[in-house]
Amino acid sequence: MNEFGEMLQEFIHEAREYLDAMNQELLNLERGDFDAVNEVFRAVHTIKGMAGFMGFKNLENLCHKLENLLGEIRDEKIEINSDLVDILLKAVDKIAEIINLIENNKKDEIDISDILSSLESWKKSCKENKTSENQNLNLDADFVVDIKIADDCLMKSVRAALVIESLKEFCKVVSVVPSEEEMDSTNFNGKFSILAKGDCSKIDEVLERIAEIDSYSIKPLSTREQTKEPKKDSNVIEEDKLKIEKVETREKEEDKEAIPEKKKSESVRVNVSQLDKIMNLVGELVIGKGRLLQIASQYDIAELKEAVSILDRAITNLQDEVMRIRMVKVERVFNRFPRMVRDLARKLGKKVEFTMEGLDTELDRTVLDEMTDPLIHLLRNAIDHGIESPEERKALGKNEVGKIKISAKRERNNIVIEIEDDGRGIDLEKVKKKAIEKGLISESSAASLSNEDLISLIFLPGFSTKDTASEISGRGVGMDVVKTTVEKLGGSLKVATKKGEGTKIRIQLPPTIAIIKALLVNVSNETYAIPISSVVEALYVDSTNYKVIHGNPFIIVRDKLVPAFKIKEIFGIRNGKMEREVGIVVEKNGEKYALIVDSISEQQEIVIKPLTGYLSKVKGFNGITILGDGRVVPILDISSLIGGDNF
Amino acid sequence: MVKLVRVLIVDDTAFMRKLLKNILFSAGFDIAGEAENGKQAVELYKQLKPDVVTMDIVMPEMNGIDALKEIKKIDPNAKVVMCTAVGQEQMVKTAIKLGARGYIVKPFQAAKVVEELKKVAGT
Repeated sequence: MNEFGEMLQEFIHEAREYLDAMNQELLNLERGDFDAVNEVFRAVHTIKGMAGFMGFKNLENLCHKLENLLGEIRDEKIEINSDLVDILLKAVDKIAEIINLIENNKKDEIDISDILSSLESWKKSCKENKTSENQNLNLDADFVVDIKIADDCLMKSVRAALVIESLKEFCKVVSVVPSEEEMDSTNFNGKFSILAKGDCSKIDEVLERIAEIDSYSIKPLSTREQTKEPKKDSNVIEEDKLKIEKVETREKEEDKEAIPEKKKSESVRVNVSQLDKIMNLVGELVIGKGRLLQIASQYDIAELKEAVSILDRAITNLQDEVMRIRMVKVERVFNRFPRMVRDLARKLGKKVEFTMEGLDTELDRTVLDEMTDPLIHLLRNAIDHGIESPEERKALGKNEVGKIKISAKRERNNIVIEIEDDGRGIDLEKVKKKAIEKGLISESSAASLSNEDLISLIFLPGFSTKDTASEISGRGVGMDVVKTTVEKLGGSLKVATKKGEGTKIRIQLPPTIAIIKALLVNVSNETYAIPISSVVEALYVDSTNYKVIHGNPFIIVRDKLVPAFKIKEIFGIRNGKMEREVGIVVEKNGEKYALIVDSISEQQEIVIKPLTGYLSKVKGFNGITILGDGRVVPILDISSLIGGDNF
Repeated sequence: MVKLVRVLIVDDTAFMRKLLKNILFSAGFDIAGEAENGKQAVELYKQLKPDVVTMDIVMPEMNGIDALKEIKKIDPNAKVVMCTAVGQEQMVKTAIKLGARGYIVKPFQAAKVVEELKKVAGT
């Protein structure tokens, strides 16, 4: 049973990897990379094999059907278009769904009839097209004209009839695919082929006289037949047995191909929580080391001191290594973006060219996980609000296809992620109007706001420039959540926008959050750590710049009133009033606040140890850290301290 | 010297004739004449020998389809463009089988009308 469990884990992990690959390759396929079909085929085939082995019949069945369709694509029996890719992607989604189900319930019983039937019907409809074509091959025709009528043409079937009638003046039309009746009865998309016999030299002239034809091509049928020749037998002889045999031989070939290419990477899978545990243990070691140091100096034992310093080095190295293991490539999250962008752009009728850079940039696993949703939100915004519709872009003299780029790179000690689009940019006038409407700013203050100030308005909670919240983006909760997340991780965010030219969002993140720079402050005889990322400045506070207005304390920073919070009062620490205290100015949601402490002791890198169990419910702390001397120091969580009223 | 394409506009409503006239005139076509029913259209075709005819389908006295037939009898190479509305697909198809060279759809979009007539006239 245990062994089965392990196998299952392995299966799920691997299947997910293949699913990622499939998503990617299908997009490549759509972009015209025909070889991608082989990759997808192989992935489906492998999942099918594993599913069969594990006894997941349903999944096996779905993969089998998908594989069949892919086989047809590979053999160029089916034309690739976006609708087909849609169906294939849906099938991939379904497989992912089944994998999730298997992970949770160890079962794969889920309704797949929908997706099976759409796979089948696609295959069938293409087959029908092809068989009718094949029949036509037997008919006496000299050439075939493939015609595409303009999308904005009204009464496409009439236009088609016009084309057919016009051709009839010069040659004998043998057959039309789809037939004229089919054009009338079904939703005719404007693509059709005419098989004809006779003089094809006049066709150009004839078609030149007909409006609303997007494109057409004339192919003599002899060569057409030749190109189809090698596959002809499989096309014509469609008996089930033969077909099955064909599929099987293909499977064998596939197996041969698949084995040598299977990459054995030299890695083991480790659960993140295990890494966290190791990190914590390293912290314990640091405390132990501290105690040993203390003993060594207390009893003045030279040998022990030496031994501890060696231990110290080892511990530091260990800490570095664990940190490195926690780092993952952004690729792991970015890889799902192309699919998302494609689906969304298609849904919104926009054309987007999406590029990614710096995929091997490494980031702490936790940071990356936290950033996933904000990044998705920003990309959605770029597609929904940023990129204009193809018509609009055309009218503006821009390329119909909008560009969106996401990149990650290391800049000094930070990781920088940028999302850039060449869309319409943020309409600052609209932002201003909206902010006034929503009562976020007053009309008089609006006039004095700089562009930068205006941009920062979009990060206020409850702000959205779109009048009606769309399903895609703009529920009005977005941007402020993005900003809060980035700040919580100790990063910062900047927006640059130019009307009509695009928007660029730059997110700066620390490579890890397990170790942060912190300010150690003293309050009475307690020590607290404040993440340096949230600190703006520090200043002395005495009776000259400390004011109480309407019962609320403020400190004056360069003639401005900043709300102040006395740590002593918040934590109920009793201590006599001091002559001079220190105000730590921090920023939250663009507003400044001051925390009043007794003094600052030092600034240093600290290892965050999260609060667990019932302690995790304690508000006001991000976690704790253990200093070199073994002291346990709470890390203040600025945003909950300031916003918090539950103390 | 560029010879303007001469168009005969056939429609029973003055409004539609005027609309087409405006569209075609500003696109550089010459208006050869106007007819308000099929019968008049056939007569005028004989007289004016226009390059292109825009032919409404539903008209009193003689409808567009019959007028098309008559005109084709007079001149098998006559270039007739049918004026149609959504829902009249089958009628237009009949007209096309009878030799109509194109169709324009009401409500008219100027660009489409001009494109169609230019294509049919061969300019």
